Amino acid sequence: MWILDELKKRSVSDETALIHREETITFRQLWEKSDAVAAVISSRCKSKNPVVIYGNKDIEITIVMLAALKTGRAYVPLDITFPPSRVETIMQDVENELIFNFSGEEVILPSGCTEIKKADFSSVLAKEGCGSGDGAGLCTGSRSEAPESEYVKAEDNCYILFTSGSTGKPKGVQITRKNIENFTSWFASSCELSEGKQVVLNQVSYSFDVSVIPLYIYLPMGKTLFSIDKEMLDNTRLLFDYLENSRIAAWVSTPAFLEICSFADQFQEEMLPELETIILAGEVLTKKLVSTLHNKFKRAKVINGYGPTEGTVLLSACEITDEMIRNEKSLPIGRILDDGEYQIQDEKGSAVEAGGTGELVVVSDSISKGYFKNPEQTEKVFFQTESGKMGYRTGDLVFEQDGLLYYVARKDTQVKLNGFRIELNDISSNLNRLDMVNNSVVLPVYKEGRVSYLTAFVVLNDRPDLSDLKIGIELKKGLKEMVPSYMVPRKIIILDQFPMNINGKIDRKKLAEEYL
Amino acid sequence: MENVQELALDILIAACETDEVGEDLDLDLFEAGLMDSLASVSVLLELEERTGVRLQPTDVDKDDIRTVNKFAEFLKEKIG
Repeated sequence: MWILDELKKRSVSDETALIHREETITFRQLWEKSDAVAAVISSRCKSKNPVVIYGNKDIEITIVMLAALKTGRAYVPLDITFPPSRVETIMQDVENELIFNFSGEEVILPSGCTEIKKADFSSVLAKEGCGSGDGAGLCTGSRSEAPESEYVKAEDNCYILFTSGSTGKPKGVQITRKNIENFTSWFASSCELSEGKQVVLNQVSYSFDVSVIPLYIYLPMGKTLFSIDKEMLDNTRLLFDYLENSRIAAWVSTPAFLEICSFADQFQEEMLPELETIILAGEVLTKKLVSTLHNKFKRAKVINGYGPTEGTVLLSACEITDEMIRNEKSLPIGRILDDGEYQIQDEKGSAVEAGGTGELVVVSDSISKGYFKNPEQTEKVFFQTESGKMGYRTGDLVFEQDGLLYYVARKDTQVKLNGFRIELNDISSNLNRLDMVNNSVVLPVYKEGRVSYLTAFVVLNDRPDLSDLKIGIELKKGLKEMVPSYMVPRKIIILDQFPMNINGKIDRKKLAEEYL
Repeated sequence: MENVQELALDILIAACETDEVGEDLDLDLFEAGLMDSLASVSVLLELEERTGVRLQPTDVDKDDIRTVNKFAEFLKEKIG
């Protein structure tokens, strides 16, 4: 199943492909408009460098994504939680010639890059969308169709997702058509809906790859994606007003979002009577949440998925049964995907004994070719087998029992906070860039086995005449201009100096014991 | 109800998990990065635990829990 093949078959369908608030788009419009945008991209970009998209859940974003694929280019989706400065850093890496900026934020364009804003989107399509090339007059009559020979090929990148990097600079994970097809061919069967069920939740931010499930599996199946934007997430009443009439049959999100919804009594079967499949991924799934869901939605099955961005959305998954909830172990993350070969390794890289805990290492066609323009980081975690398949050391510690994998912990300082993947050193590196800061350490605070929030410990250069609270607020403001908002620690503790361990390094354990 | 102010403060301190909330009762907790959507669910949980009153997420606007003082006003109206 490949998105462009399937959507082409539906290119004369007047069924609804996407809904966002009061806006809708049909499969026919999606196909035709993405052809027009493809013409714009082809005429504005000389290189095959990726196209950057900065926005939230606007329908136009999906048009642009398809258009990029039609021109043989990858797209780089950057959510509005990214501050402009981080977008600018990424653009310098990507060397894009075009950015679709639907964010409402001002970004400084690198030389040779043009920008299309949301307000100008339609007029640009009208002017440049017929591929006449001169951009002089409005397109009339015949519309341009992107030639299939230009479409992305198996080894071409389709998207590059920039994820938190420990040096303070985001890492771009390159995902090819082959990677995506390998994922969808395995996972599509878990996504099947009953006859007549049509609507799928499209809530996950596009810069997070769980959003690939609606886009690359459900949309090609001819389902309607029901988009939820950031403002709706901040306003439960507004969110529920939309959900109530959504007729959603498949729910795809992080556990954190579903948990917030589930806190409301009205969020149950009567509100979403058609719901039959709930797919959760991105962070640890708790038994408490699944039990709540089983009570609220008696007919819905819950699927738990696991996978790093480097392995294209999911590397393992399984349906959560009542028996698993009754079991004393935590919930499993499932079985490895169809073509996946895996090993659980100890620190020396040898397989652990049966049932032992170690790092999950996976070889599969779903594994990315590596980080964008970053051979150093790529070499650390990716490898190639003799047969040429890519492998990835996930950094996730797991064990296996009765054919199912169980997640235990990370082996490094990466954490998941509300489903967002964060390198703690990414935050401290950026904090250290602030003038006021001499050095910093960021630690997660756990509650009920999960990261509840982050705390930063900061030693200042010069202490301004302000309370710790006010200094903390200033630091958060400065940090927010450099990293996504979800990476800003809730608590900032100002210290005169860090406790040191016998190796002369900052004693994180002592910090945690003393303050957290 | 006199201690509504105190109740509001206690709940927000528990939900944001920091005493700093008490330093400035008009501090915008969202802007200060002390409150987020997950913490706002905790506000409802804490309220229920302390008073037995169960409110729905749809009963509370972001503005109702933006500052300690605003939350105190909100509580006076809802349970006071």
